[in-house]
Amino acid sequence: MDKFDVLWQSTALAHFTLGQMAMMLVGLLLLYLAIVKKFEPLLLLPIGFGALLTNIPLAGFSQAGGILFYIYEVGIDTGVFPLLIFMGVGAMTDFGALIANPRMLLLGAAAQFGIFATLFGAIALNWVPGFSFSLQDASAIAIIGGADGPTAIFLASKLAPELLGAIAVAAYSYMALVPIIQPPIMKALTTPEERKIEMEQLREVSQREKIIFPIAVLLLTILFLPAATPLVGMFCLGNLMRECGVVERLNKTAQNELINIVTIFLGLAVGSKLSADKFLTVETLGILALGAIAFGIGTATGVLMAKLMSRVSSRKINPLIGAAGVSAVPMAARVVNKVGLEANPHNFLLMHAMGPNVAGVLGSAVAAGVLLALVG
Amino acid sequence: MKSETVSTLLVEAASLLAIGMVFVFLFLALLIAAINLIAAFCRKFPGNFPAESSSVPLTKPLATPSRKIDDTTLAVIGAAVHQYRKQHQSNVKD
Repeated sequence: MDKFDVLWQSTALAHFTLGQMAMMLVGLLLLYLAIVKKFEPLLLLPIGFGALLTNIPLAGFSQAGGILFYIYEVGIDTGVFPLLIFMGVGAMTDFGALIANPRMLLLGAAAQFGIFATLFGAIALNWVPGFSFSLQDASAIAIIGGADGPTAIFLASKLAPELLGAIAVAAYSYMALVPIIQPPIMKALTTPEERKIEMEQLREVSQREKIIFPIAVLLLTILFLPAATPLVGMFCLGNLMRECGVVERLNKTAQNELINIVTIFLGLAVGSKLSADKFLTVETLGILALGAIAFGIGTATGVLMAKLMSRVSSRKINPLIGAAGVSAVPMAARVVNKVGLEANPHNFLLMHAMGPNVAGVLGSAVAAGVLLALVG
Repeated sequence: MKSETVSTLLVEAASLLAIGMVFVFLFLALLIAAINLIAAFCRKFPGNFPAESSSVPLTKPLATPSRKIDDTTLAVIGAAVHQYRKQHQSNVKD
């Protein structure tokens, strides 16, 4: 009989807690969303699988000695993985549309209001019993509104590592939900006439401008916001590799092999943070709600800023493109294009929306730098 | 949480909101100026420096067929094709 007991004690069945089973269901839900619904599958698949692994009783994936523990320590605790991803994103980003029409940066700035308003909202949630967000926690949650996965993970790992799992899951889920969240807000804030506005063709941008641009961005960041230089610096390095044309091999590696490898580990490490004691809390619900609000507010302020600019400016601006200011490249720009086509089937806004879209990436990196400098 | 601490935190969050948004706008406005400067610089000094090098393949294909076919080769190929077609036609007829 003793032997039976030993055998029984060595199975997972004897040690499953309710929380672990619930988290495995969450992991399976993430796998379902990735595989069947195709929501950001590149990230939700490893995150979901990481959640399964980390909740296995007795296996200890996320304790010292377990593989997920080390992947997290090496990659996310140090901030290395999100920064490498950011370099790859830089190598994939074409700033041509933004350089051709630099005023679009104002739209990228306006959409960051979603971040700071959510910071306010997260603190206000402390009135509700059960919530106790510090200023650090609130900042890490608010950056979900930047709609930029690596930035959110980088900031969360620095300011609120215990909330990282929920923040990363919220950020990537909402990025996948952009086509559902944004259009109603965009339509509510614009008239059909405004949505039909056609914009003039963008000018051709020389390669030299594209080469100088990332260096100029980095120079400004060094001078005015050194706290953002890890993010902006890696981003600019990737972009310079893309545009300079002399390191094509490095460019290809940064935007393909390297970013793919890092994505696997980043996803697993985020998944390792999906343990019951940290995820099955009322705070997670708060984070999910605040994330949706952050996206909504960012979209709204972007559209409103574009409306203001189109009133003031001599050149025509379709207010829809303001919605792309939340970053979420290139999904948000595609949504703008789609909503624009619904109003006017001959109006292709994609290239015009790419300007505010990449401006949003810079804007959220700057916002993250501000939060790191003031709260971190 | 105590309501006093929450209200002090709220004041801090509000100041973060104001400072953060002002800073983001100023920074990106500065960037607009910088982009315009770069554009002006590039218009003024339009040297043709690395032109289209991003589309150049990494390694040259081993045997690159020269694009231009000189007249003699063209004539030879033309004659050969003509001959072949003639033969082929006569074969079909047989």
